[in-house]
Amino acid sequence: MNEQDVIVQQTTYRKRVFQVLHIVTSMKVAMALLMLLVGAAMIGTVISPQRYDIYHSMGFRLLLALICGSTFICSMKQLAALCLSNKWRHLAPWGTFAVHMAIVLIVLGALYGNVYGFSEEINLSVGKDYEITQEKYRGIGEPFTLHLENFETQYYADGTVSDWISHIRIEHNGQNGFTQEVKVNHPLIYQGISIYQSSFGMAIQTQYLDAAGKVLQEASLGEGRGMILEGDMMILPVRYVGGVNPQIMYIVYKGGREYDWGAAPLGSSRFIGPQMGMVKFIEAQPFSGLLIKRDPGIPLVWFGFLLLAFGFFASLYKKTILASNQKG
Amino acid sequence: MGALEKEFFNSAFVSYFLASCFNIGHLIWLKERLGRWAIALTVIGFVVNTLALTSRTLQAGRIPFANMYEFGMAFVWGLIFFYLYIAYRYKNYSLGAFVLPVAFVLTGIFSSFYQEVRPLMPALKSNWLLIHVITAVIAYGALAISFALAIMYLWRQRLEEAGEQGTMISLLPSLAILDILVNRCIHFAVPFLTLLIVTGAVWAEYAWGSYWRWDPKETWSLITWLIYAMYLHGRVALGWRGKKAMNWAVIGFITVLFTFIGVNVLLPGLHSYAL
Repeated sequence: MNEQDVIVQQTTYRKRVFQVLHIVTSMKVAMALLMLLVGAAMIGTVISPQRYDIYHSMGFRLLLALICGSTFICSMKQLAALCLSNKWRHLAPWGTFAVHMAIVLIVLGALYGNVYGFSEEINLSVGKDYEITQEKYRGIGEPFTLHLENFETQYYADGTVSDWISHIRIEHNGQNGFTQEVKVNHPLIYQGISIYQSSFGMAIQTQYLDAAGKVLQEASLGEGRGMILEGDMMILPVRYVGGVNPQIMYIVYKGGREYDWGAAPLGSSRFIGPQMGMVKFIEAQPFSGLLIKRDPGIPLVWFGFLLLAFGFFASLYKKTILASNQKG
Repeated sequence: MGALEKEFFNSAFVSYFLASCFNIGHLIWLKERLGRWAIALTVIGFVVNTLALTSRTLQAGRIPFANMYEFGMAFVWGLIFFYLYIAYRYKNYSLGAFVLPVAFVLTGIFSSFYQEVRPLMPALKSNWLLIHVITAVIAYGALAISFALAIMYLWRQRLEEAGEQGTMISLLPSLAILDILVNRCIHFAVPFLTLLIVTGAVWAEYAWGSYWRWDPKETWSLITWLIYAMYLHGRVALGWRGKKAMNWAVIGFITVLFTFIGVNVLLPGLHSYAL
């Protein structure tokens, strides 16, 4: 093989690579990928995520990556063509370029947030503390303590719920910091993390004792959330009734059927079931379900959103104006 | 006040129905008078629709965007507004025969979601509600028009293929103009469709703590957006014109309707309070 042949072979090899690249980044392939994404997204909405979470599967992520790659390469090709032509003075092609870059940025931002962020739901009872430590929550500024001073539900005059509000005090090393109301649409953003009002309920400290008063089982239950006991039994606190004499209404199940029911004041025990076991509700505290979250990808995603919106208006509105000018 | 608002909405429903009949009658019998009646009835429907929205706003003491019924009223209002604007601008009211039936059917569907005035639930108490819903009215309104125009295109094409001349064809704009108008409507709508998703995502970040959760409503809004993205690419890069482009415009609006109504009825998720 002489030098000439090597050069020829290299150029045909290069040609082939370009040919393959050209096909892979062609519009038809891009359209096929988009069609696949549409199909997969549709299927995902009819399958329950408990059965199969299509959106977090490897295949779906690969598809997103391919679309992102294709978008990026196509935009780069367009950018090169744009710079070489005399169209670079126009706004519309830059708008189109911005839209495609924005899509890549949004996906990168989402990925970054997924890898370096966290999201956790906690239940915090009224009067209790929750430590936000740097060990557990990566990337936060200073560690601090959340203290739930109070949780309240506010109503409109007609009885519908107006707001769920957690009164949260932020403390540093036991020193009082500041208090803020956290409610839906009003998260608390502090030291790089966000705290959202997510749910609420009652924490009912429940004990199961034998006839002699020895504690056999203990758990924190909720309204409608029960505890399985020995002998195929279950105790279910149904509702906390406050007022002068706070009581817990409960149902006892045996073998999957209703067996008995009753109401017990806080702190006093009741015999349940044929084994003469006893149930005792020690205390009931309202709690607030808080979502603690950090997403460092947000600035990138938000910037992507801005670029996307700007790009679309620049690209599509300019073209419309041009089209009507041509017509005129 | 509530009864009055319902009367207004029912009157709009009847007006849009009659306007549909007169519009279609105009296309079939080519009587100038039928066309004028159709326009008058559309304007009457639009006025009572406006009154229904106004009385709802006064009664609720807030913008009427809190549920499917309220948003539906606003959407149909936007649709008719776009139609009257385009018809006036292009001096061609034949589009009414295609838009008014859509408005009439949607008014019927939305009235089945009727709800008494209720105060806003916690998740909806946000400034994002206004901008989110306004972008929806604009995007969906323009896409509904693009759908009607695409149907018009396909209809005219069939008439041409069947060799019909002179009759109703004379009232319909040419295929070339319809093609441009469909494209223009979609070009107008897509930036707003994008804003609709973006405002929804930013709002969800504040309300639910995540800008994207693959909730059925979110996913279907993305599907709709992708369908129109494919339309735009097909048009620019693959030279789609005529029937193929029109079919995509039709499919696009069907996904809009599914995102808008179907998801709430069939696929409950975080967004289901809109029912």
